[in-house]
Amino acid sequence: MFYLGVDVGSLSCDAVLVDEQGQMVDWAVIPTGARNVESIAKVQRQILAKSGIPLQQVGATIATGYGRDRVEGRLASVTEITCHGRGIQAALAGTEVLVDIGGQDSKAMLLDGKGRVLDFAMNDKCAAGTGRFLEAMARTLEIELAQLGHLDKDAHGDLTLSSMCTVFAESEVVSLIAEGAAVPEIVRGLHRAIANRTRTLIKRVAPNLSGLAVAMSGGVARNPGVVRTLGQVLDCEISVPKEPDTIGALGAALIARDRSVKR
Amino acid sequence: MNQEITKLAGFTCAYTPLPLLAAAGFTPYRILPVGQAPDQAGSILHDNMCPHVKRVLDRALDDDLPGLDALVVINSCDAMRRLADAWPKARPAEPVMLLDLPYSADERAVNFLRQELLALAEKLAAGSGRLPSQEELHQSIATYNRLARLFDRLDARAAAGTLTGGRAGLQRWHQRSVTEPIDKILAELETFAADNDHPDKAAAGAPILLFGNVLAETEAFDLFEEAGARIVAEDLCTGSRQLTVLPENPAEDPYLILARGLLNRPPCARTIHAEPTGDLAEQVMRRAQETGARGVVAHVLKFCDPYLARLPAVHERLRKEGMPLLVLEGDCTMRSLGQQRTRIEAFVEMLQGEES
Repeated sequence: MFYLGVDVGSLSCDAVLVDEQGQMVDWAVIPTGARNVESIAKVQRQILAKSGIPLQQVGATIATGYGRDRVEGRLASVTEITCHGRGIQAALAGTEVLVDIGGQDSKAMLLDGKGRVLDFAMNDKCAAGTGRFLEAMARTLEIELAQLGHLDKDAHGDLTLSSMCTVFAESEVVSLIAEGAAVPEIVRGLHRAIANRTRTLIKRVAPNLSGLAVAMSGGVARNPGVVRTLGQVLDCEISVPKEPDTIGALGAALIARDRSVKR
Repeated sequence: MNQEITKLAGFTCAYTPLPLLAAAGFTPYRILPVGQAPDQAGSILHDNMCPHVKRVLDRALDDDLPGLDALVVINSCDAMRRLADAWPKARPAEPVMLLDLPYSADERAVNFLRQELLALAEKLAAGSGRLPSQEELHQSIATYNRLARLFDRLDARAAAGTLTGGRAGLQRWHQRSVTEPIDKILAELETFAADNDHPDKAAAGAPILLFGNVLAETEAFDLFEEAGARIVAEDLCTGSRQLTVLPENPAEDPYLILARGLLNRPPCARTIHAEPTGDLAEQVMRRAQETGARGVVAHVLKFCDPYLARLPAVHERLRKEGMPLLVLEGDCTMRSLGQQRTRIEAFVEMLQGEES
């Protein structure tokens, strides 16, 4: 039997299948778009086709993410906070502090090193510093989102952005372009702004990071510039799992397996 | 109790002396920060102002209120004071009566509040034509005590998860108890309280203590219970702190009883003693332990400095004891609380030790 986790996020809809032993069998990520019910069905079809596993062999599904209650036939809905905690334990065992920056919210979690959440802080009231924020900035700078994370590697300036509101930051970036600021320097400023904001969130759950194993998940963890800058700001090493945007779905799949085994 | 109550006295703070209002011939009517009135208060007050006060003013500006014969405002914080200033612009025909509230409960403070209550009685009498006798005030205190005792009993049943309708149902009664005539609500609540216990859907939930200032919407309590929480104790301005049992002694001055009773009731962040600074933290921790809560939820309105200033100390104190704390900042709309759903569910999952 196999177990499915579906993470319906604001930007992407992710699915992970695990086997009886909790090993990841396959994963799929598609854009959520405006009609999440269709995206949910599509990602489920896609992962089953990709893995070659028939639906009848899926023992249980756990849904997570902001659209979790839209997943038909789920065993239960579990919040993304719990799922990311569980998922990171499987991907990077021993993680004690996890920061998850997704499409439109960010979360910091203090974990017990075994995947159980001890405390968390969440910012979901504005898109500052999230995937959607970076998307908007990449669009303004007329570069691909994937490029953004590498562009600032050789930048050394101390350019800062005073606003983290997506709308105001976009205006600020436009002004910087008009003033002739180099794109890598602007990108560095963006990453520093995100890192500083994320540090505040992390410090709410872990005021002292000394000796703690810190990891990052969520789509923004694919941006090496943000990860590097956050590590500098926090003065610690930040581990990133192989497929950071599937950690929530992985946790959900593992919870589906755990609950089915317990029953 | 006066059988000819026809006048309405609006109020907005749990420190309002309800027995006095009723004895003076008014039905107390709490202007709860609920409903769908559009945001308009910003045209009179600053946008970064207490959302409770702004919602109350929104309702006034939207005519989402019955006509009031008086508005009694407790000078309990700057925002309430501003509400008293703004009211004549929204409802010019309604007289505003401001009552100063000391923060301590020593004899000087009690005597000061007694004078304030006497002055309020005079102002109310000017509107209703009736200055309550001492006997009438004693009787009114006794009536409100009956209501407060009923709520204490129902609160215990809600804590055990056996009250029909759960916390959301109890909150509905809290709302009605401050917006409808006391005799009517007392009769109905007595009938309801006589009903036998029934296991409620929340009975198996994770036990939490909910404290803070204003959380009036019944839907908010549904949200907690649907997330798997059982509120074993609640300490809110719009809930259990609205009514407290006062001493009954016909030989004593009822104004003194009222003043002393109000100042000795469970305090809010505005009235809690400033020293020692961690007092609120101790109070919350003690309550959580006494009630068997496994976690604490603080629901605090944006810009409410008396609470927000004390939260770091509460967090630190609870952390030392290994008691999880979830802080929710509200703005008196369900729109804002809906956004908190993931936090509440994640907190409950955390308390239940979800999936290691």
